Amino acid sequence: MSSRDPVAEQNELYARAVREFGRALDRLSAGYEGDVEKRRDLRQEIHLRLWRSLTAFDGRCSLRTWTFRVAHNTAATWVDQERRSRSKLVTLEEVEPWLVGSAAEPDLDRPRALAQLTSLIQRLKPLDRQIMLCYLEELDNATIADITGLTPAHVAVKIHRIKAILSRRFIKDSSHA
Amino acid sequence: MPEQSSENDPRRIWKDQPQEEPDVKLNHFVGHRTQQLYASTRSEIVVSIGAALFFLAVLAWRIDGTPDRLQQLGYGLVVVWIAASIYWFRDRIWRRDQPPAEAVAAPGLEYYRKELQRRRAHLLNAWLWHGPLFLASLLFVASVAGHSFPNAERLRSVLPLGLLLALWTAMGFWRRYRQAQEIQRELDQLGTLL
Repeated sequence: MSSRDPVAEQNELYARAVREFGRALDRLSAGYEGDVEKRRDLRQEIHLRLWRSLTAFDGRCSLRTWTFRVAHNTAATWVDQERRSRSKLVTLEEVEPWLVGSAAEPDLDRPRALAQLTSLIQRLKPLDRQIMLCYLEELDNATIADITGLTPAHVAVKIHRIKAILSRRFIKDSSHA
Repeated sequence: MPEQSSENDPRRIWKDQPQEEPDVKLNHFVGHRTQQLYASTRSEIVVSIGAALFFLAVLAWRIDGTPDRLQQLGYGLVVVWIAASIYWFRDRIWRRDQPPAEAVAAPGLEYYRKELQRRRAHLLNAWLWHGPLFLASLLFVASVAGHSFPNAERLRSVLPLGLLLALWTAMGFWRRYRQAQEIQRELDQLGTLL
């Protein structure tokens, strides 16, 4: 006879995941879906899949890694389904030429900076988008590697590229001052 | 060198973005999913029966000449099948089996499981609610072809369209079977909890 009620355990894990990573999941949804109505559906889908998946959570990875894996996989499937109506998605390497000639604006306010950042994220292919979002959530390279399934070395290369892209676009260049 | 301050650090900009929507609640999204399943099932039945009626109406009003016995039998069968489908799915169509308001507001796991079971049964019984449409389509194709190409050429002329219709039907059944399997997996997962 089991000592714990599995439903209660699942709900407890879900509540903990939402408490600790709920806001991050909201931001993740914003990174994958621009349309407000569709974003609401994506959020629901992520939460539903997360809750369902927790029946299989065995503690072999952290709850954070598990939560982000489920969320990213769900969102990647979402992007794939919605792609027919979308413009072409690009990799980190391909997005760099798109940024050429668009140096950081010195007086870019926060809402506009956020809009530009979101636009940049939503142009990326799912894998690069995952890495970008994990970086923005300040996850370390080892956790990002756990979530994405890439090697830590590969993640490091991607993060290096992301930093270069973001610094070109969003961080003040003092040499222009 | 670029100068990074907390003010324009993209990670701060990203993490400090305003929260635009309230938190997602377990009951809300289970309820949302349940309503989605319910609505899909209902609309599929209504659209399928509506399309069958449309084909019948077109046949009755636009095709000249008296239908032969086989066609008459076909029409009769479609009408009976439609009536049986409407009777069989009356609760789904007119929402008589909707749960009480408080259950919709906070549907539990059990309610969600029942909706999944209904959806699975609906998908596995696709022949029941898709049958009239298939038969009406077949009659429509046969009647149009027979009208245009009488006698000996009739069968040959209707063959490509008939094959296309059969292929479309087979693919539809296969797709619904796959969806039912997916739902079964979800039910199995829930089964470990209930």
